Amino acid sequence: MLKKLLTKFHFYLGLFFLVDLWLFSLTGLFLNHPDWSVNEYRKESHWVETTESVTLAQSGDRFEKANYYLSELNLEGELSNVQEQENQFRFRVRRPGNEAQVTIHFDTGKVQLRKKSTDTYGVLNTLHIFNGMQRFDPGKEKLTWFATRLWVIAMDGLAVGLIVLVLTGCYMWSQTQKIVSGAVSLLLGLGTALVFLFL
Amino acid sequence: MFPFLISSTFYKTTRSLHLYLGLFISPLVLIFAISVIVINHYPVTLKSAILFEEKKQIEHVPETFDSLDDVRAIMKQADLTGWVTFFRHLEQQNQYRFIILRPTVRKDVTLNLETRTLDIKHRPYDFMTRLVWLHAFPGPHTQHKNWFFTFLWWILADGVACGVIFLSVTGIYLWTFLRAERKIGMALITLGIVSQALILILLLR
Repeated sequence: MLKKLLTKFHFYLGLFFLVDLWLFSLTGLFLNHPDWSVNEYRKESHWVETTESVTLAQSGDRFEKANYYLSELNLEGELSNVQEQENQFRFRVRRPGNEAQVTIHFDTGKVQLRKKSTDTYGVLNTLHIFNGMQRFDPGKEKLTWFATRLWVIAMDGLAVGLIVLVLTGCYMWSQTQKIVSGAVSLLLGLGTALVFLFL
Repeated sequence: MFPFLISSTFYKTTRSLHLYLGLFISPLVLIFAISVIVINHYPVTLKSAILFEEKKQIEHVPETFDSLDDVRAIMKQADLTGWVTFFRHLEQQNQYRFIILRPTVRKDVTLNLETRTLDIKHRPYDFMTRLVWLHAFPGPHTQHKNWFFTFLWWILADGVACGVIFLSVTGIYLWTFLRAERKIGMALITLGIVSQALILILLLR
Protein backbone atom coordinates (compact mmCIF):
# COMPACT_ATOMS: atom_id res chain seq x y z
CA MET A 1 0.00 0.00 0.00
CA LEU A 2 2.76 2.43 1.06
CA LYS A 3 4.84 1.42 -1.96
CA LYS A 4 1.94 2.11 -4.33
CA LEU A 5 1.17 5.43 -2.64
CA LEU A 6 4.78 6.69 -2.69
CA THR A 7 5.31 5.51 -6.27
CA LYS A 8 2.29 7.54 -7.39
CA PHE A 9 3.41 10.51 -5.29
CA HIS A 10 6.90 10.29 -6.87
CA PHE A 11 5.74 10.64 -10.44
CA TYR A 12 2.86 13.02 -9.65
CA LEU A 13 5.35 15.36 -8.02
CA GLY A 14 7.80 15.00 -10.93
CA LEU A 15 5.05 15.80 -13.45
CA PHE A 16 3.80 18.81 -11.47
CA PHE A 17 7.30 20.30 -11.23
CA LEU A 18 8.27 19.38 -14.80
CA VAL A 19 8.39 22.94 -16.17
CA ASP A 20 10.27 24.24 -13.12
CA LEU A 21 12.80 21.41 -13.35
CA TRP A 22 13.52 22.21 -16.98
CA LEU A 23 13.63 25.96 -16.35
CA PHE A 24 16.12 25.72 -13.47
CA SER A 25 18.22 22.97 -15.11
CA LEU A 26 18.54 24.84 -18.41
CA THR A 27 19.26 28.21 -16.79
CA GLY A 28 21.71 26.45 -14.46
CA LEU A 29 23.58 25.32 -17.59
CA PHE A 30 23.37 28.81 -19.10
CA LEU A 31 24.75 30.44 -15.94
CA ASN A 32 27.48 27.84 -15.76
CA HIS A 33 28.72 28.79 -19.24
CA PRO A 34 29.12 32.58 -19.51
CA ASP A 35 30.80 32.14 -22.90
CA TRP A 36 27.71 30.58 -24.56
CA SER A 37 25.88 32.77 -27.08
CA VAL A 38 22.73 32.73 -24.90
CA ASN A 39 24.64 35.00 -22.50
CA GLU A 40 25.37 37.66 -25.12
CA TYR A 41 22.78 39.91 -23.46
CA ARG A 42 25.33 40.64 -20.72
CA LYS A 43 27.44 42.54 -23.24
CA GLU A 44 24.57 43.94 -25.27
CA SER A 45 22.31 45.44 -22.62
CA HIS A 46 23.18 49.03 -21.72
CA TRP A 47 21.92 51.60 -19.27
CA VAL A 48 19.61 54.24 -20.73
CA GLU A 49 19.44 57.44 -18.68
CA THR A 50 16.53 59.87 -18.51
CA THR A 51 15.53 62.74 -16.23
CA GLU A 52 12.04 63.16 -14.76
CA SER A 53 10.31 65.27 -12.15
CA VAL A 54 8.55 64.05 -9.04
CA THR A 55 6.81 65.45 -5.97
CA LEU A 56 8.99 64.64 -2.98
CA ALA A 57 7.74 62.15 -0.40
CA GLN A 58 6.98 63.87 2.90
CA SER A 59 6.79 61.02 5.40
CA GLY A 60 7.38 57.31 5.98
CA ASP A 61 10.42 55.11 6.39
CA ARG A 62 12.85 54.64 3.50
CA PHE A 63 10.95 51.68 2.03
CA GLU A 64 7.59 53.50 2.20
CA LYS A 65 9.20 56.46 0.44
CA ALA A 66 10.76 54.19 -2.18
CA ASN A 67 7.36 52.57 -2.82
CA TYR A 68 5.82 56.04 -3.21
CA TYR A 69 8.46 56.98 -5.82
CA LEU A 70 7.91 53.65 -7.60
CA SER A 71 4.22 54.43 -8.10
CA GLU A 72 5.02 58.03 -9.13
CA LEU A 73 7.47 56.78 -11.75
CA ASN A 74 5.29 53.86 -12.89
CA LEU A 75 7.92 51.33 -11.93
CA GLU A 76 7.37 47.92 -10.41
CA GLY A 77 9.74 45.36 -8.95
CA GLU A 78 11.81 44.32 -5.95
CA LEU A 79 13.55 47.15 -4.12
CA SER A 80 17.17 47.01 -3.07
CA ASN A 81 19.96 49.36 -1.93
CA VAL A 82 17.44 51.92 -0.62
CA GLN A 83 19.50 54.81 0.76
CA GLU A 84 18.32 58.12 2.14
CA GLN A 85 21.12 60.68 2.19
CA GLU A 86 21.27 64.38 2.99
CA ASN A 87 20.70 65.63 -0.55
CA GLN A 88 19.35 62.62 -2.35
CA PHE A 89 17.33 59.43 -2.16
CA ARG A 90 18.56 56.39 -4.07
CA PHE A 91 17.31 52.91 -4.73
CA ARG A 92 17.34 50.07 -7.23
CA VAL A 93 14.34 48.19 -8.49
CA ARG A 94 14.64 44.84 -10.22
CA ARG A 95 12.36 42.42 -11.99
CA PRO A 96 13.35 39.62 -14.38
CA GLY A 97 14.54 41.30 -17.56
CA ASN A 98 14.44 44.87 -16.24
CA GLU A 99 16.44 46.86 -13.77
CA ALA A 100 16.31 50.54 -12.82
CA GLN A 101 18.52 52.77 -10.69
CA VAL A 102 16.69 55.79 -9.30
CA THR A 103 18.28 58.88 -7.76
CA ILE A 104 16.01 61.67 -6.50
CA HIS A 105 17.75 65.00 -5.91
CA PHE A 106 16.04 66.88 -3.07
CA ASP A 107 17.29 70.33 -4.07
CA THR A 108 15.88 70.22 -7.63
CA GLY A 109 13.11 67.59 -7.29
CA LYS A 110 14.57 65.95 -10.39
CA VAL A 111 14.82 62.20 -10.77
CA GLN A 112 17.78 60.63 -12.48
CA LEU A 113 16.47 57.34 -13.90
CA ARG A 114 18.76 54.69 -15.36
CA LYS A 115 17.08 51.68 -16.96
CA LYS A 116 18.41 48.46 -18.42
CA SER A 117 16.55 45.59 -20.01
CA THR A 118 17.64 42.21 -21.33
CA ASP A 119 16.45 39.67 -23.91
CA THR A 120 14.55 36.43 -23.21
CA TYR A 121 17.69 34.59 -22.10
CA GLY A 122 18.40 37.41 -19.67
CA VAL A 123 14.88 37.02 -18.28
CA LEU A 124 15.32 33.25 -17.91
CA ASN A 125 18.71 33.59 -16.20
CA THR A 126 17.35 36.23 -13.83
CA LEU A 127 14.48 33.90 -12.88
CA HIS A 128 17.13 31.41 -11.69
CA ILE A 129 18.61 33.90 -9.22
CA PHE A 130 15.67 36.23 -8.49
CA ASN A 131 15.06 36.00 -4.74
CA GLY A 132 15.14 39.61 -3.59
CA MET A 133 18.92 39.62 -3.01
CA GLN A 134 18.48 40.13 0.73
CA ARG A 135 22.01 39.10 1.55
CA PHE A 136 23.42 42.09 -0.34
CA ASP A 137 21.17 44.54 1.51
CA PRO A 138 21.61 43.98 5.26
CA GLY A 139 19.10 46.70 6.19
CA LYS A 140 16.31 45.04 4.26
CA GLU A 141 14.23 42.84 6.53
CA LYS A 142 11.60 41.54 4.12
CA LEU A 143 10.78 41.29 0.43
CA THR A 144 9.08 44.39 -0.91
CA TRP A 145 7.27 43.07 -3.98
CA PHE A 146 4.36 40.61 -3.95
CA ALA A 147 5.58 38.82 -7.11
CA THR A 148 9.04 38.24 -5.58
CA ARG A 149 7.40 36.59 -2.57
CA LEU A 150 5.41 34.31 -4.86
CA TRP A 151 8.51 33.44 -6.86
CA VAL A 152 10.49 32.66 -3.70
CA ILE A 153 7.63 30.38 -2.59
CA ALA A 154 7.75 28.68 -6.01
CA MET A 155 11.54 28.18 -5.69
CA ASP A 156 11.16 26.85 -2.14
CA GLY A 157 8.37 24.57 -3.35
CA LEU A 158 10.58 23.16 -6.07
CA ALA A 159 13.44 22.65 -3.59
CA VAL A 160 11.16 20.78 -1.16
CA GLY A 161 9.68 18.88 -4.12
CA LEU A 162 13.17 17.76 -5.19
CA ILE A 163 13.99 16.60 -1.65
CA VAL A 164 10.75 14.58 -1.55
CA LEU A 165 11.46 13.18 -5.03
CA VAL A 166 14.88 12.00 -3.81
CA LEU A 167 13.44 10.42 -0.64
CA THR A 168 10.53 8.69 -2.40
CA GLY A 169 12.91 7.55 -5.14
CA CYS A 170 15.19 5.97 -2.52
CA TYR A 171 12.18 4.23 -0.94
CA MET A 172 11.08 2.89 -4.35
CA TRP A 173 14.61 1.57 -4.94
CA SER A 174 14.58 -0.17 -1.54
CA GLN A 175 11.52 -2.13 -2.71
CA THR A 176 13.29 -3.48 -5.83
CA GLN A 177 15.66 -6.42 -6.29
CA LYS A 178 18.49 -4.07 -7.29
CA ILE A 179 19.69 -3.28 -3.78
CA VAL A 180 23.41 -3.90 -4.27
CA SER A 181 23.82 -2.24 -7.68
CA GLY A 182 21.63 0.67 -6.55
CA ALA A 183 23.69 1.04 -3.36
CA VAL A 184 26.86 1.29 -5.45
CA SER A 185 25.32 4.17 -7.47
CA LEU A 186 24.04 5.93 -4.37
CA LEU A 187 27.34 5.55 -2.49
CA LEU A 188 29.30 6.87 -5.47
CA GLY A 189 27.09 9.95 -5.54
CA LEU A 190 27.21 10.33 -1.76
CA GLY A 191 31.00 9.99 -1.75
CA THR A 192 31.30 12.65 -4.46
CA ALA A 193 29.03 15.03 -2.55
CA LEU A 194 30.91 14.49 0.74
CA VAL A 195 34.30 15.06 -0.90
CA PHE A 196 33.15 18.50 -2.03
CA LEU A 197 31.40 19.35 1.23
CA PHE A 198 34.53 18.66 3.28
CA LEU A 199 37.18 19.71 0.77
CA MET B 1 6.34 5.62 -35.42
CA PHE B 2 9.26 4.49 -33.27
CA PRO B 3 8.56 0.80 -32.49
CA PHE B 4 11.68 0.51 -30.30
CA LEU B 5 10.03 2.87 -27.80
CA ILE B 6 7.49 0.25 -26.82
CA SER B 7 9.90 -2.69 -26.85
CA SER B 8 10.42 -4.43 -23.53
CA THR B 9 14.22 -4.09 -23.77
CA PHE B 10 14.07 -0.31 -24.26
CA TYR B 11 11.59 0.05 -21.40
CA LYS B 12 13.73 -2.02 -19.01
CA THR B 13 16.93 -0.21 -20.01
CA THR B 14 15.27 3.21 -19.52
CA ARG B 15 13.92 2.13 -16.14
CA SER B 16 17.36 0.95 -15.00
CA LEU B 17 19.04 4.14 -16.22
CA HIS B 18 16.39 6.22 -14.42
CA LEU B 19 17.05 4.28 -11.23
CA TYR B 20 20.86 4.24 -11.27
CA LEU B 21 21.37 7.80 -12.52
CA GLY B 22 18.72 9.01 -10.09
CA LEU B 23 20.47 7.32 -7.17
CA PHE B 24 23.88 8.65 -8.21
CA ILE B 25 22.81 12.28 -8.50
CA SER B 26 20.47 12.19 -5.47
CA PRO B 27 23.06 13.52 -2.97
CA LEU B 28 24.15 16.23 -5.43
CA VAL B 29 20.52 17.20 -6.08
CA LEU B 30 20.07 17.48 -2.30
CA ILE B 31 23.00 19.92 -2.14
CA PHE B 32 21.37 22.12 -4.77
CA ALA B 33 17.84 21.79 -3.31
CA ILE B 34 18.74 22.48 0.35
CA SER B 35 21.00 25.37 -0.63
CA VAL B 36 18.07 27.05 -2.43
CA ILE B 37 16.19 27.27 0.87
CA VAL B 38 19.34 28.55 2.62
CA ILE B 39 19.96 31.19 -0.08
CA ASN B 40 16.33 32.34 0.03
CA HIS B 41 15.95 32.61 3.80
CA TYR B 42 19.25 32.91 5.65
CA PRO B 43 21.76 35.74 5.36
CA VAL B 44 24.93 34.00 4.24
CA THR B 45 28.20 35.77 3.58
CA LEU B 46 31.04 34.20 1.66
CA LYS B 47 33.43 36.51 3.54
CA SER B 48 33.06 34.79 6.90
CA ALA B 49 34.72 35.85 10.17
CA ILE B 50 38.43 35.21 10.72
CA LEU B 51 38.97 32.16 12.95
CA PHE B 52 42.75 32.42 13.20
CA GLU B 53 45.81 33.91 11.53
CA GLU B 54 48.89 32.00 10.55
CA LYS B 55 52.36 33.10 9.45
CA LYS B 56 54.56 31.17 7.05
CA GLN B 57 58.00 31.89 5.68
CA ILE B 58 58.83 31.24 2.03
CA GLU B 59 62.25 30.88 0.42
CA HIS B 60 61.78 32.39 -3.02
CA VAL B 61 59.73 35.39 -4.07
CA PRO B 62 58.70 35.36 -7.75
CA GLU B 63 60.33 37.93 -10.02
CA THR B 64 56.99 39.05 -11.48
CA PHE B 65 53.53 39.37 -9.97
CA ASP B 66 51.24 39.53 -12.97
CA SER B 67 50.15 35.97 -13.54
CA LEU B 68 48.53 33.07 -11.79
CA ASP B 69 51.76 31.10 -12.10
CA ASP B 70 53.40 33.55 -9.67
CA VAL B 71 50.64 32.88 -7.14
CA ARG B 72 51.00 29.15 -7.71
CA ALA B 73 54.76 29.37 -7.05
CA ILE B 74 54.10 31.03 -3.70
CA MET B 75 51.29 28.60 -2.79
CA LYS B 76 53.50 25.60 -3.54
CA GLN B 77 56.18 26.82 -1.11
CA ALA B 78 53.59 27.41 1.62
CA ASP B 79 51.76 24.14 0.96
CA LEU B 80 48.52 25.93 0.08
CA THR B 81 45.93 24.60 -2.35
CA GLY B 82 42.63 25.92 -3.62
CA TRP B 83 40.95 28.13 -6.15
CA VAL B 84 42.62 31.53 -6.59
CA THR B 85 39.96 34.18 -7.21
CA PHE B 86 41.97 37.37 -6.73
CA PHE B 87 45.61 38.49 -6.80
CA ARG B 88 47.18 41.94 -6.73
CA HIS B 89 50.63 43.44 -6.26
CA LEU B 90 50.43 46.45 -3.93
CA GLU B 91 53.63 48.25 -4.77
CA GLN B 92 53.28 51.04 -2.20
CA GLN B 93 52.83 48.62 0.68
CA ASN B 94 55.42 46.24 -0.81
CA GLN B 95 52.89 43.45 -0.52
CA TYR B 96 51.31 40.82 -2.72
CA ARG B 97 47.76 39.77 -1.87
CA PHE B 98 45.63 36.91 -3.06
CA ILE B 99 42.50 35.01 -2.02
CA ILE B 100 42.15 31.23 -2.01
CA LEU B 101 38.70 29.66 -1.90
CA ARG B 102 37.67 26.12 -1.02
CA PRO B 103 34.15 24.93 -0.14
CA THR B 104 35.18 24.75 3.53
CA VAL B 105 37.34 27.85 3.94
CA ARG B 106 38.40 31.18 2.48
CA LYS B 107 42.03 32.18 2.97
CA ASP B 108 43.12 35.81 2.59
CA VAL B 109 46.86 35.75 1.99
CA THR B 110 49.27 38.69 2.21
CA LEU B 111 52.92 38.26 1.27
CA ASN B 112 55.31 40.79 2.77
CA LEU B 113 57.86 41.09 -0.01
CA GLU B 114 60.56 42.48 2.28
CA THR B 115 60.43 39.76 4.94
CA ARG B 116 59.07 37.00 2.61
CA THR B 117 56.47 36.25 5.26
CA LEU B 118 52.99 35.07 4.39
CA ASP B 119 50.17 36.26 6.62
CA ILE B 120 47.22 33.86 6.14
CA LYS B 121 43.78 34.71 7.51
CA HIS B 122 41.58 31.61 7.80
CA ARG B 123 37.86 32.24 7.34
CA PRO B 124 36.14 28.85 7.67
CA TYR B 125 32.63 28.25 6.30
CA ASP B 126 29.86 26.60 8.29
CA PHE B 127 27.87 23.76 6.71
CA MET B 128 25.09 26.00 5.33
CA THR B 129 27.62 28.34 3.71
CA ARG B 130 29.36 25.35 2.10
CA LEU B 131 26.04 24.37 0.50
CA VAL B 132 25.60 27.93 -0.80
CA TRP B 133 29.22 27.99 -2.01
CA LEU B 134 28.69 24.81 -3.99
CA HIS B 135 25.44 26.16 -5.46
CA ALA B 136 26.90 29.53 -6.41
CA PHE B 137 30.27 28.33 -7.77
CA PRO B 138 30.67 27.61 -10.56
CA GLY B 139 28.47 30.25 -12.07
CA PRO B 140 28.54 33.31 -14.29
CA HIS B 141 31.51 34.79 -12.40
CA THR B 142 33.65 31.67 -12.51
CA GLN B 143 35.62 31.94 -15.71
CA HIS B 144 38.98 30.99 -14.24
CA LYS B 145 38.72 27.45 -12.99
CA ASN B 146 42.34 27.35 -11.90
CA TRP B 147 41.93 24.52 -9.40
CA PHE B 148 41.23 20.93 -10.41
CA PHE B 149 38.32 20.59 -7.96
CA THR B 150 36.65 23.81 -9.22
CA PHE B 151 36.85 22.38 -12.71
CA LEU B 152 35.50 19.01 -11.51
CA TRP B 153 32.61 20.66 -9.65
CA TRP B 154 31.83 22.71 -12.78
CA ILE B 155 31.55 19.46 -14.78
CA LEU B 156 29.46 17.84 -12.02
CA ALA B 157 27.09 20.84 -11.84
CA ASP B 158 26.53 20.51 -15.59
CA GLY B 159 26.05 16.79 -15.08
CA VAL B 160 23.40 17.38 -12.40
CA ALA B 161 21.50 19.82 -14.67
CA CYS B 162 21.63 17.40 -17.64
CA GLY B 163 20.87 14.48 -15.31
CA VAL B 164 17.72 16.17 -13.97
CA ILE B 165 16.53 16.82 -17.55
CA PHE B 166 17.29 13.20 -18.48
CA LEU B 167 15.46 11.90 -15.39
CA SER B 168 12.39 14.02 -16.15
CA VAL B 169 12.31 12.85 -19.80
CA THR B 170 12.72 9.18 -18.84
CA GLY B 171 10.17 9.72 -16.06
CA ILE B 172 7.64 10.95 -18.62
CA TYR B 173 8.43 7.94 -20.80
CA LEU B 174 7.87 5.51 -17.89
CA TRP B 175 4.67 7.34 -16.89
CA THR B 176 3.15 6.89 -20.37
CA PHE B 177 3.09 3.12 -19.76
CA LEU B 178 0.76 3.60 -16.78
CA ARG B 179 -2.49 3.98 -18.69
CA ALA B 180 -4.62 4.41 -15.55
CA GLU B 181 -2.53 7.41 -14.46
CA ARG B 182 -2.48 9.32 -17.73
CA LYS B 183 -5.40 11.64 -16.98
CA ILE B 184 -4.17 12.60 -13.51
CA GLY B 185 -0.64 13.01 -14.89
CA MET B 186 -1.82 15.29 -17.68
CA ALA B 187 -3.85 17.29 -15.18
CA LEU B 188 -0.78 17.73 -12.97
CA ILE B 189 1.45 18.79 -15.87
CA THR B 190 -1.22 21.34 -16.85
CA LEU B 191 -1.58 22.53 -13.26
CA GLY B 192 2.21 22.96 -13.02
CA ILE B 193 2.33 24.94 -16.27
CA VAL B 194 -0.67 27.13 -15.36
CA SER B 195 0.53 27.95 -11.83
CA GLN B 196 4.00 28.75 -13.17
CA ALA B 197 2.53 30.88 -15.95
CA LEU B 198 0.45 32.89 -13.47
CA ILE B 199 3.50 33.74 -11.37
CA LEU B 200 5.50 34.59 -14.49
CA ILE B 201 2.72 36.91 -15.69
CA LEU B 202 2.92 38.75 -12.36
CA LEU B 203 6.71 38.95 -12.57
CA LEU B 204 6.98 40.00 -16.19
CA ARG B 205 3.83 42.02 -17.00
